[in-house]
Amino acid sequence: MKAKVVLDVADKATLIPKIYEIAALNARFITITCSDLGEFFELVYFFEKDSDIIGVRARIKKGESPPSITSIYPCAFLAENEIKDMFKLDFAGLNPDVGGVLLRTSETETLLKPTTGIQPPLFRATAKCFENCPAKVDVPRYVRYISEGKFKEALETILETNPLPAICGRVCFAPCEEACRQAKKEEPISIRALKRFVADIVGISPREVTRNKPTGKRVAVVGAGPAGITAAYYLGLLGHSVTVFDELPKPGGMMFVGIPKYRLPKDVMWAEIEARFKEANVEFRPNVRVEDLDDVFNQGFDAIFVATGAHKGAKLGIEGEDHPRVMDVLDLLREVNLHNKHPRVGDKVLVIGGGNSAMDAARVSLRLGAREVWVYYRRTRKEMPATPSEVKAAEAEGVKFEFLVAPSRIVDGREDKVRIEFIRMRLGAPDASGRAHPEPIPGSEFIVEADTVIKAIGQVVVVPQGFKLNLDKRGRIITNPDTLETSRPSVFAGGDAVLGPSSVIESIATGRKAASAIDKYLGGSGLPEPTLKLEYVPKAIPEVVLEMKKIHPPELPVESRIKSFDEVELCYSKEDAIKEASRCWRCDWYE
Amino acid sequence: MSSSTGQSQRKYTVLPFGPQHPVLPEPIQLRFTCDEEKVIDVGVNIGYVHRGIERACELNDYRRNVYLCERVCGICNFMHALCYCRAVEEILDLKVPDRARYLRVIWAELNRLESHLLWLGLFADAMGFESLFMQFWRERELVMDMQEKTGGNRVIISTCVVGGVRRDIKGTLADEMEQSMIKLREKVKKLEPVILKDPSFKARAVGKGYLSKDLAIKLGAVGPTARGSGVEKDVRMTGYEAYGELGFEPVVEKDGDCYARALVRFYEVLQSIDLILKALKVLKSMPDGPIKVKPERWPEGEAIARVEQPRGELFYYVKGNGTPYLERVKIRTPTLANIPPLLAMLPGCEIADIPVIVMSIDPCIACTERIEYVRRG
Amino acid sequence: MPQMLPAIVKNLFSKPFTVKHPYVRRVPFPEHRGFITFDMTKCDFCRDCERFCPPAAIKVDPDAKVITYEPFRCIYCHLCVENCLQRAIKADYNYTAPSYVKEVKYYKPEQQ
Repeated sequence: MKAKVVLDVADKATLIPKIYEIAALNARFITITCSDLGEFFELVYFFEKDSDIIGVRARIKKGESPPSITSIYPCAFLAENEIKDMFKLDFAGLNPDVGGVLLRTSETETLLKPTTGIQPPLFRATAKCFENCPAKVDVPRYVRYISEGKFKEALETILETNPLPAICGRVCFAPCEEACRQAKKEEPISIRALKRFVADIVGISPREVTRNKPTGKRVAVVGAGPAGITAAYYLGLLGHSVTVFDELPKPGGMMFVGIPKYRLPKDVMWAEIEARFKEANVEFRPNVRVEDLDDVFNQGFDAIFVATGAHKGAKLGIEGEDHPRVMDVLDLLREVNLHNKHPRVGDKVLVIGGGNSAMDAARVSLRLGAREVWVYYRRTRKEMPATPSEVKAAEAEGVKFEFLVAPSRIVDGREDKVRIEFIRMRLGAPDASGRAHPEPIPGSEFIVEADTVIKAIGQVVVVPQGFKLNLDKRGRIITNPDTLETSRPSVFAGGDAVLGPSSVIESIATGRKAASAIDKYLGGSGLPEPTLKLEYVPKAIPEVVLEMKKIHPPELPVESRIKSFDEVELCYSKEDAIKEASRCWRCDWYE
Repeated sequence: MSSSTGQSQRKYTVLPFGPQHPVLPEPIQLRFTCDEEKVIDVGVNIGYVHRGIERACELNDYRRNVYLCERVCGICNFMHALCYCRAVEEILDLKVPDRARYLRVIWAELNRLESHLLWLGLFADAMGFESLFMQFWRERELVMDMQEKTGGNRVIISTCVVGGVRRDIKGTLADEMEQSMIKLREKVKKLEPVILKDPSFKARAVGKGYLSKDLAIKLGAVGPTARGSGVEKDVRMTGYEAYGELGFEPVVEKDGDCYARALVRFYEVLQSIDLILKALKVLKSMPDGPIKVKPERWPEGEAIARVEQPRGELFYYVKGNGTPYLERVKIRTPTLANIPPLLAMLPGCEIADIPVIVMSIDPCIACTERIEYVRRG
Repeated sequence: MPQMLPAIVKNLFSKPFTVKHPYVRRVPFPEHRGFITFDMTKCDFCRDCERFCPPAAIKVDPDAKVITYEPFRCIYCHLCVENCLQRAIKADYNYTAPSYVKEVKYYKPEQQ
């Protein structure tokens, strides 16, 4: 049986009659509590009668003296003396008065003041995944929503800073997973796969969103890559009227022509981009190549965002480079993605390079019918810039690697074969990027013959002269680092055109930053900075969480992967996603 | 209770007893006004063990406070932690899992065993009966070993947290505990004839320090002090934690003197052992489950919790205001409530009976609290 | 007294119940909460132990990568051991050795 607690309220005049009532019930005295509430004291008297607690709450103004109850309950003298010493509250008729004996102090005010305001906690730890994300997506929050089953809220959280979850959930190189604290044991939370799961399970159709009132300003976005789409989306939600120009027939930019279909199916990509354009009321004009920004201004636009990207392959710098069987990876991928053709690559393919595009080139060649694919890289496996999971996937499909080799020249070959000379390298002192600089070993040249040689050594930024923007020595647009404004007023720039060849998520980050800056330039207030919100987050229980094992996202079986361009990585099931999200250590806990 | 002068020719001696005294375990000062060998009047002076715990509780996160409240008293430390956790759980509306409730009962009863065996030893020592004192403390070692094996420490167990307990008792540990408790019961039963029949024990305890039933109720006596005078009150009858399911009847004696109180505590030792064995049996048949739950928000509101300490009724009043820092924590320990009955028992006894009577209310002066301003470093 | 005689006689002729501390060391049970050590190869400076410690005996500096531990302030509650997710704090079951100097222990990661 639970004890009942009853609390009456009294003030100075009615206190003694109430205590007489309680004494008539033969209740036992327990104690008196006193709190300092600013202008008055609050005394609560507690009595007990047959396992029920009776309380009387009395408010006494400071300076007044409440009546003592020792005439009714003599045993209350200890409690009242205690309060008299602590709070300097004089009880009228206190008997016996042992005041001053219990506590001697030289302070004149009351000792027990209430704590002032809300005490801040020692500090609030932030989550490493959040800090490492270039776009500052609120990762701990949406992983927590997934573990609770709230998929719609998770999607809303992602869309606050990243408008392309279905795409990033398939192609992002996931700096969040590298920074996850569980990565020390090789088991980071599969944040990227969880993001894809959320986008797939909620659906990619356009949602109901509220846009700001139309401001009447028009913004032009040149380039429909990730930076352009992001800037257009946020500017559209802020109420501006946005038009996106692109030279390709469909939007996507590098995601369209630079990423193979088995990593990012094109229908998913276009469905998401069109959903975002519809929600933000953005107009898209394909097949328009902008050469001169003055034309754009003359059409009545108030600001321009340039996001033309980096679409030209770098040159190897060796003689004989223009052999017909030597092609750049971007050209190969354009043939496959844009024109839907399957160019013939022959039986043996050589790929030169070590980044993600080299892996793409190798895996695409396998799907186009090559029987033997080699990747030649001038440093060792440890220094390869490709994501380790990509390298592992390429190896699983049968790609072979050769390290510490670099091409020196193309020896002429027949029309459909090419002979290329390589020289072995060794690692020397570190260069500017921190990696060991390879030095050629003289006299170690050897010749390899192949049907096709694919270059995948990086891209260069090419900005049309008509834009009249200041470029740096590598051809990238110079911008103000905070507002992304270029040397020309009302012209902003972002994406690969400013950063050089980088990743999807970094371009999205610049797109959102530029949207905020353009809005402020046009008289608005900009977008809020992405931070972790301050709310109650319980910490993960160590005994439960350390027992769980990582669930890898499901994939197609290895043998059937290279037979088609179907997507290799599949989506989590609902139970697996919730289990994987429950494994999170909640580094942003705030209890 | 102020001293009054009698006839003008007689002069009374004022004898200060404490704060340092070989018999007293903790400092308290009693000033006796004596006429030759008889005590006429008593005055009390408490407050020598200030530590400012109530104030320090406001500067700490509400979950760290458990470790602070535990250290109010060393012997009954689990009860303080339990009472605080119960008060906070009532504010938060948390439901503690079943396994945790039975585990809390086991540790609470272990604490009670340890305290009563310690008291029986000290009571015998106050009479000068040193061999009984040593014998009781020897049996107490079994309890201390059990506390170390199950909780982690001999004295301050630190297993109670807001939402449940930290450690579990299962498997071989539960069997060991059962064996240990059965052995303890045999050993304590062997000492029963000493308490019941020994003439020297009875001569010093029977008839001393009489407290009538009406006076016990009126002055607010709690615990074995009240139950030795025929007042049938025990907080465990309200059925908190798992006591309601285990069934509980308080041990009551009618005589109202020191001997009755000693008997009450002795029978409570046997009752505690029975309770522990019953709880262990229920635990064994329970399936494995969680032993703690996490709170979902910060405490806001006020709540009261009462727990039966070995010395009486412990009362906690906790008030929260929506932040992780509590606004007010008020602790009322049973020894503080037992001091007015003590002051009523003492007049009329002889000076040689003073240690026996003061020990018979089981004074744990460390529990009685005062507030001091403490700055957290 | 007469009721106590059998027990007294039995104690007179049996082995002593106590051990001759400090010449004979009493080994605590394995579940005892003893002193703690930090394993710096596993620590990733998340500061969880600092937030849980009731007497604030642990201080973590993530920039300089140093952990400051004061054994005199520690109450040996082992909350840090339970809540460290990388399991970088090791608990021993022995008592801390007594000392007469208030010291502070610094833990740095080993030089690689």
